[in-house]
Amino acid sequence: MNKQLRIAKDVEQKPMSPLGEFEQIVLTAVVLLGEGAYGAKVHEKVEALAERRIKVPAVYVTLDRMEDKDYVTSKLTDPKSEPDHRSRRYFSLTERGDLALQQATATARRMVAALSEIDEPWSIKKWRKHRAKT
Amino acid sequence: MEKTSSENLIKPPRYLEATVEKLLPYSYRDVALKELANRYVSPGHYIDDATCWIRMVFPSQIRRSFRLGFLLTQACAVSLVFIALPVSLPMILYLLVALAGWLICDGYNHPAKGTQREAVVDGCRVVAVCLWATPLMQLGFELKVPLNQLITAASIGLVLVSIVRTLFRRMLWLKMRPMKPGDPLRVEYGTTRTRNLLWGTAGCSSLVLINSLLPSLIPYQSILVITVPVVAFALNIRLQWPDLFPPGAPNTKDRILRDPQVDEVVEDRANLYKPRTPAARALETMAVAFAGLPFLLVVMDVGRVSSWLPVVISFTLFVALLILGIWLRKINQRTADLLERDAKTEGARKI
Repeated sequence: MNKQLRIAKDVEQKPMSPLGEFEQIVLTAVVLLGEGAYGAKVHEKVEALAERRIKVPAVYVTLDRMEDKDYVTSKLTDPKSEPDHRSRRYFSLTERGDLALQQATATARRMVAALSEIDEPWSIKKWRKHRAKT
Repeated sequence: MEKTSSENLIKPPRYLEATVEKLLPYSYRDVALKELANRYVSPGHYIDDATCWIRMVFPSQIRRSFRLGFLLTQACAVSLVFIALPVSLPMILYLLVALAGWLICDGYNHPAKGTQREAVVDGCRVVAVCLWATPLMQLGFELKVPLNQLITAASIGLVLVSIVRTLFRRMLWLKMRPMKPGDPLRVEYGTTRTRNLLWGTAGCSSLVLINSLLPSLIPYQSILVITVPVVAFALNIRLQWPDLFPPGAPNTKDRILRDPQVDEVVEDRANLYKPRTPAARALETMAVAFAGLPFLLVVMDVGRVSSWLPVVISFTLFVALLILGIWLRKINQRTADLLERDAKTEGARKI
């Protein structure tokens, strides 16, 4: 029992690293898919969200990495219950993953808010500054 | 538009699937082969996709399995095998190559559970490393290693590295997949495995101790008393592994359709010690017979024994080890039966 508690404590104490862009997209896909978040579906959703072609292994590798970080959890289903009689691995968000995604979205919101305060698009302003210097 | 799983009627060739299966790290095999089969268009496209999988999955697996402490402990264990040799640059390079090889193997096998099977395989790798090192050291670097010393070092390495890797990997596995607390079957399974490991360690240490306590009566006695029982026991454990994927034509389709939960129960049962086949029993008897050989030699040549105290001590140790082994065998059998019953009644991963 003590060992269990120690493991649980260890998981809780893992430092929370900020999410990368691709990790944010994958986590968002898992959230959006809810109960039906398995590899192939997550990949489809990630492609839709990113609006570009994504390699399939990249999604699986990222999901595994996030499982190591305890941001997502996965469970294998009984193959008999699946239409193609193949076991599927379904992913769901953990509390840590939820927190990490909230932090990422909060940062993005702050960025959008800050940029929207500028009268003209920030990229034009940056370009003008650059031209003035040169 | 990508094809979905049910609509792809064109199947990739078997030989391609078999090759890719061998190249992929084992934890990604099922999912990768399934995805590749679903998206199959042509062999060229398949190879391209498979290369992408291998290229992306391998570095990720190596990164995930890498633990500095583990690597350093292994380095110490492997160095002990070559303790008799003088330290030199080729030796260090050789060790670095061996460790790099291990790193790749760990990535390939991640996540390893720290099972007895893995321990035996890792131990055998050390023996292979030693055997590979012999011509390299003797021809390339003119380092002469007596055969007797090399075999003893290899058997010590087999035991040492097996223990280090089993314990480490087991720890990592427990961290990754915490046990369900309060599951009595899980607790019993874990306890039995720990007892097996402790008995194995005690057994190997006792063999070394018995050999040093008793007088050397025949040539190569240390090899017969230490190496032969350890190797026979290792082979005995190998014979108990489940024949999940029998050799011959690889049947990828069967592999994909297999229930991984049932596979896991079968694998866990295989980690328990229960020699059922006649060959396994014969190897077990052989291990015990060779371990007890020095006592027979002592009885046959009483005149060469100067003091009886070490003989009595070592004989007591041997008998105690044997009684403990018989008791453990019964416990292993009981736990295996419980697992089997549990798997039958509930049909899912309960351990």
